[in-house]
Amino acid sequence: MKVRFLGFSFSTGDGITLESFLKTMSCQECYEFEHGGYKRLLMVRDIKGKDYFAGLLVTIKDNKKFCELKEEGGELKVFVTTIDDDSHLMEFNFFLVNKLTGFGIYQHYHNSCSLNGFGHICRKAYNSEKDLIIKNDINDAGGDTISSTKIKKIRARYKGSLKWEMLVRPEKLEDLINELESIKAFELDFLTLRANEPVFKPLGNIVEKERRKFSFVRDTPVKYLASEIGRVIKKLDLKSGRVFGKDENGIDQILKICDNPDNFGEYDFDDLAAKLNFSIDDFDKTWVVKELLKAARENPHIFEAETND
Amino acid sequence: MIKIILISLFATLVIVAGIYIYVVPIDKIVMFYGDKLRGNLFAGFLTLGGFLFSLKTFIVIKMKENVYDHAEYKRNLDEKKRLNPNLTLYGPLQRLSNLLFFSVLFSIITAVLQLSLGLVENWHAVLVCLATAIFTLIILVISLFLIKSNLDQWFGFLENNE
Repeated sequence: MKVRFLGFSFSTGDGITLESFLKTMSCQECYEFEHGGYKRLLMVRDIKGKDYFAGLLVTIKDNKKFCELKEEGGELKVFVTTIDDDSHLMEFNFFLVNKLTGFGIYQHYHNSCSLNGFGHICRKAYNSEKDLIIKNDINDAGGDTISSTKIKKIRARYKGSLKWEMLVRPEKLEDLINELESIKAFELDFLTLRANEPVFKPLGNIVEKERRKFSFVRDTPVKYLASEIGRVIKKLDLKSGRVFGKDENGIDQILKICDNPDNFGEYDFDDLAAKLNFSIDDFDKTWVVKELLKAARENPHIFEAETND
Repeated sequence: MIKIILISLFATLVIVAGIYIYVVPIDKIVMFYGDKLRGNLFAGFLTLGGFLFSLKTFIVIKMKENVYDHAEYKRNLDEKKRLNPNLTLYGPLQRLSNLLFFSVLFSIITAVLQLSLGLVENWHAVLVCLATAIFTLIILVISLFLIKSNLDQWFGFLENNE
């Protein structure tokens, strides 16, 4: 089984910067969430002296038994092993986020939490932090005595939520779109910049970057759209753009086309797991986090470059 | 330019149609125009035309000298020409000059019409004179805003490059 490092990007809503959100998360020992029928633990730590925050997402399985296939005397036998009462089966996902750019790397293997699931869990954490900040602001402004207009104004200050996007190579996009349940829109940036001559005024300093968004009628077949979008990307040689859709759980997913490597590292699960005997509190000192950091440092054009998107 | 003229024409037609509908009977307008408007419109547009004529020369020459002929503006234009080779150095200034010229011309035409066609005591002739005055007034207001926006850009340019 392969473990892959996948690229993603985070952007926050109004009033809360990504850095302050990650900092708040790192102050908490761990966040507990229920997602997809499993209990999940989310931990974040600031990596001292670097622009990155490291994190660990642990999925705790509720089954106490697991099956093993063994060859005994020339025949295959199934053995059921029961783990101790105080033990739990688990899956792990390490991640790294640049606090300034919002770009990050997510370590993923089959059966562990998907990147989309991870984004959804982080959004839950963001929303609970946002609710807490709004509650504090309302209390500071006078609590129950203030008018509903004032409460609305305070809420408007923190409009929007955490958004995540998966970084995808143009060639891989078609396969990933096919995995979506429905597609809402396709947004593409034309690489050509326009400098139009003003009719009556001197020429300014600004050039326009052309961006088009195509929205699709609900229930348009995903397979048809995937092949058409793939054809457009190939024909126009697009290096940036986004596909907005929903996955099979009805969760919004954004695929961001980016001229990045297919993945930022690929490891054998057994090799990686062999290096993973650690205390949860010290997860940020593990070999995986060091590898994530190394991968980010090798691609500064992606993880350390600020964009205006 | 054509867009501005078409918008002004449309607005003029709407206003004149409003006068035609709400002034009942329409013949009433001939006396009102002759007593209260004709002389003022003649004097006003003649003065405006003359004033705008001198302003036009000043604006165009100053913009050319201080903005369009500036080395920094030419460098910016050369950079943008890599994106759009059809960009011209004096194109916007020439169009502004043309618009100001038409504003002056229409002001003079409007003034002359008040003392020629405006003397005919017929509501058709009066409506034509009023329509010309309204049309010219709209063009003048647009020119005023364009001059302001050019001056703003000129000051912004000076701020950044001096």
